[in-house]
Amino acid sequence: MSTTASALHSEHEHHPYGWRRWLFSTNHKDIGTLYLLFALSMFFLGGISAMAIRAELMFPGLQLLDPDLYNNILTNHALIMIFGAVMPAGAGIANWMIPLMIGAPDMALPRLNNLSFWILPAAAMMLVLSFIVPFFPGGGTQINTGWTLYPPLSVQVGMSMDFLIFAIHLLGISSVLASINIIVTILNMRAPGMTLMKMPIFCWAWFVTAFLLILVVPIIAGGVTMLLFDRHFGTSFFNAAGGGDPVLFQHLFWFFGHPEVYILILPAIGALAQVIPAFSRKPLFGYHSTVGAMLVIATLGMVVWAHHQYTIGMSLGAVTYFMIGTILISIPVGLILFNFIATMWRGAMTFETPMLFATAMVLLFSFGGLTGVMLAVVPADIQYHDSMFVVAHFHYVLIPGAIYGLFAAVFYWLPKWTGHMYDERLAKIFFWVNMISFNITFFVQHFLGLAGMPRRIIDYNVIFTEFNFISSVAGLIYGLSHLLFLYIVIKCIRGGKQAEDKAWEGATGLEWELPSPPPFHSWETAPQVK
Amino acid sequence: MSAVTANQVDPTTRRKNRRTAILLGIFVVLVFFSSVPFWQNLVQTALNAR
Repeated sequence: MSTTASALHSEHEHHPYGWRRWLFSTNHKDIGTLYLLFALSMFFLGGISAMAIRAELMFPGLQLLDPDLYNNILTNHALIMIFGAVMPAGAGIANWMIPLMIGAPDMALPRLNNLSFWILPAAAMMLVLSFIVPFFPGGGTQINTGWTLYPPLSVQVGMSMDFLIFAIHLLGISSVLASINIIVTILNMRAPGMTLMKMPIFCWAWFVTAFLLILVVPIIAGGVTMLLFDRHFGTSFFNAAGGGDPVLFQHLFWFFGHPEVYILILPAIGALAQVIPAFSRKPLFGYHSTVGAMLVIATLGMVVWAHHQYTIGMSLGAVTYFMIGTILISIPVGLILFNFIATMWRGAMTFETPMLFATAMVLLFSFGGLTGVMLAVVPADIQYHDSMFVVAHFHYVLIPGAIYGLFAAVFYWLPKWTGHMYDERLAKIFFWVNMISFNITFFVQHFLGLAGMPRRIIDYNVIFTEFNFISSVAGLIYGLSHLLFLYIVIKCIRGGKQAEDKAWEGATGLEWELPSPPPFHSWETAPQVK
Repeated sequence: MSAVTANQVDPTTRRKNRRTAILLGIFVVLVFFSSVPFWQNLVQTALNAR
């Protein structure tokens, strides 16, 4: 693909040491590492809240939490996982890999890159404060809105909602700055000869995702700003008594919220498009159609938001449009998944951990997509709405669709990042324990939902006891299994078998032509791509 | 040599990067304000007045 005669400059690794290296860093690899460490810590924080939820739901009757605290934890679990864990993890991998994959010396705007990361800890602090402020005298009521923050409830909650609104503002600013940086890097910093249509799919996925982010994040920022004004400055954007419309917030929220699903999933799909060809030892089947499908997903994803709001009483024409539009998305998504399967077809496949996670994502994300089509159908959705079926659906979409893609990417590139091979045996144990416990946790929730168990409740009818018990036990195993992931990563960072420059036999791309780990300053002379 | 200066790209690319980023930034600000009904009402009122 390329020649890299004088690409390396590793005799002097000029970089600051100690805390200055991290606080003032403008190096894409260091900032990528910071993002990943931040995401990992938030992932465990969000995981603890998930385990608290499952522990409470293990049996009917109140056991551990009071209802207000339960709602607070539920809201924080979603916000921490989406904004704190999955999005920063994707941004971390993008920071690490995009410059290496396109032959750029760094991100286009390194100082902006530093800023977009260091906004995150401040945002996380606001998010955590929104959780704990109500426990102090005068702190007001706990957040009980869920991550959707619908008014009028969100106008009535105490000051913790203000912390949450500012957290969302900060997280949004960080995401927008990172997205601008990614777009500029991809447009202006590609190595000579690397046209857009020669670019690795992972970079394409992030290119599309970054555009989605700058299109929809300002909308939620506008929405929560109006919420803030309704709460404190006497406006009535969402207050029916003052002539406002609470449903307007739902539209603004989901105009952001639905593309957000693709913002979480597309980078994972991009990572899979690197992993599956490497372990099938074949080029990706249908490069152009995969790129086209991602563009179609992004476009359609922007215009179907109200399928989350079928029950608000829209006109028949509107719900029919949103139903058809939503079902249409299954075509480009299916195309990408079939491209992955066609890549595997008659390939010399081996199943190292990245490929295990990739295969699991293809299978389980398809299953999540299938229940998504069920939920897109208006009459069916009116039955499933706000039930545990929805909880099962979106966890099947987001855990295999986003988190398994991230795990595949992390295990695939960990040797490149650290210079060491991870413990394959432990990683495979982690995969199997994680995958089986995930399925047991969430599969039974489909039946709970279909049988009528509502979501977002602290207690339930005794007829739901058995499946909730199974879900909780498996959920606790699923949560604890991530400690093994942490151990594998720490072990890999500390040592292990030296990774070769090209850690995987079937891997292709510029990143594998650099040493493992890459020098502090890589691609000082741009490679020539043929 | 600091981490910033070591990986400098040529001034033309730097200018191009800055220009692209500013354009995208303006776009973000426009999208933000497009979500606020006040502006939508203003445009609608202006359109109706014509």
